[in-house]
Amino acid sequence: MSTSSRTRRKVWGLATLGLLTALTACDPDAAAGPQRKAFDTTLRTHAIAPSTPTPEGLAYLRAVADVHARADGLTGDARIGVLRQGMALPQPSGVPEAEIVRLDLAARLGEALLASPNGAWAARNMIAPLVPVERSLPLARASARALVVLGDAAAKTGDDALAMGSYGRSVEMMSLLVEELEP
Amino acid sequence: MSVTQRLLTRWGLPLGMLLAVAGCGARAGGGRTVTPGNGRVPDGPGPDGQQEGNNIGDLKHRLDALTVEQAEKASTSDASFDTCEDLCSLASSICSVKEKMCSIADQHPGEDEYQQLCRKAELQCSEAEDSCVACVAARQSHGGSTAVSK
Repeated sequence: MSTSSRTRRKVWGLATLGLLTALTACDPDAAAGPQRKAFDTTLRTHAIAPSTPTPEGLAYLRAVADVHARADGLTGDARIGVLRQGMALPQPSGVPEAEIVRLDLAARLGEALLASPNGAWAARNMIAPLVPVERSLPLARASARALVVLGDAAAKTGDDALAMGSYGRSVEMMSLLVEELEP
Repeated sequence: MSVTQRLLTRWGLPLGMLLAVAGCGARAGGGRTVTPGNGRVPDGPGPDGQQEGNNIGDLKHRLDALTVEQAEKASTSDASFDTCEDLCSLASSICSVKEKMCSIADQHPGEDEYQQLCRKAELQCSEAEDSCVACVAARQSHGGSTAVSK
């Protein structure tokens, strides 16, 4: 290859590189990487098929029903304490319905925490790990209720982006349930 | 009815049926038949229809028939009411959350994403309300008259 040919190739290479750099500089989004969204409304769902009753499943359901009944007769910190005990019950494996029951219990605990003084952060920290955008949620009212609790807790703690995202996911979940019910 | 109670009821039904069948089996196998009225034959006309046996097979057959009948009744009356009630309750919840979303969006007037999500929620609220109204209207046109609150 001659010297002049090598020089021409270098010039073309540098020109192409310069053009690409200039184009990137003109587009601030490209420079910043993937476009940032204000909030995340991603919703992953899965249907819960009715399962065959198992002794462990029935025992769990009865224990949670008992927790709800005891909480009904209490208020304030006493109610929160009982609901926390319910959340500590081990969720039986192989019982898909237990996921819904636990989310419903978590939502109720979140609502009780939100009603207590300075309970918004506690509610947010308790429920946020249960309904992250990465996790598929059971297609059920309990999931929507838990997402509303997270939205309320986020709004109370001044995180409008998390509140909008959680509310948006909740409305999406409920709209899917409406579609399921429509004839 | 709570989620937990609903599940207990649903799981309780098959258990109840099993117990019923087991109970029928015990009665048919080792039980003693008691004739009402100290064994006296009633004076009036006898019962209409085919004589039903008391063995386990006949009782199981009757239980199956009753279960099918109950399911049919549920699907034509209570189920439609429950569906409308669920649809209207969902519509109410969706619209309630929509209010919260649009209230937050009002605090972010210059941010398109907030405004778009508020508008989307308004649409979803409106569609859910339409479903509720259509369900109640369809139910009433089929002869039902019970009102469903939104």
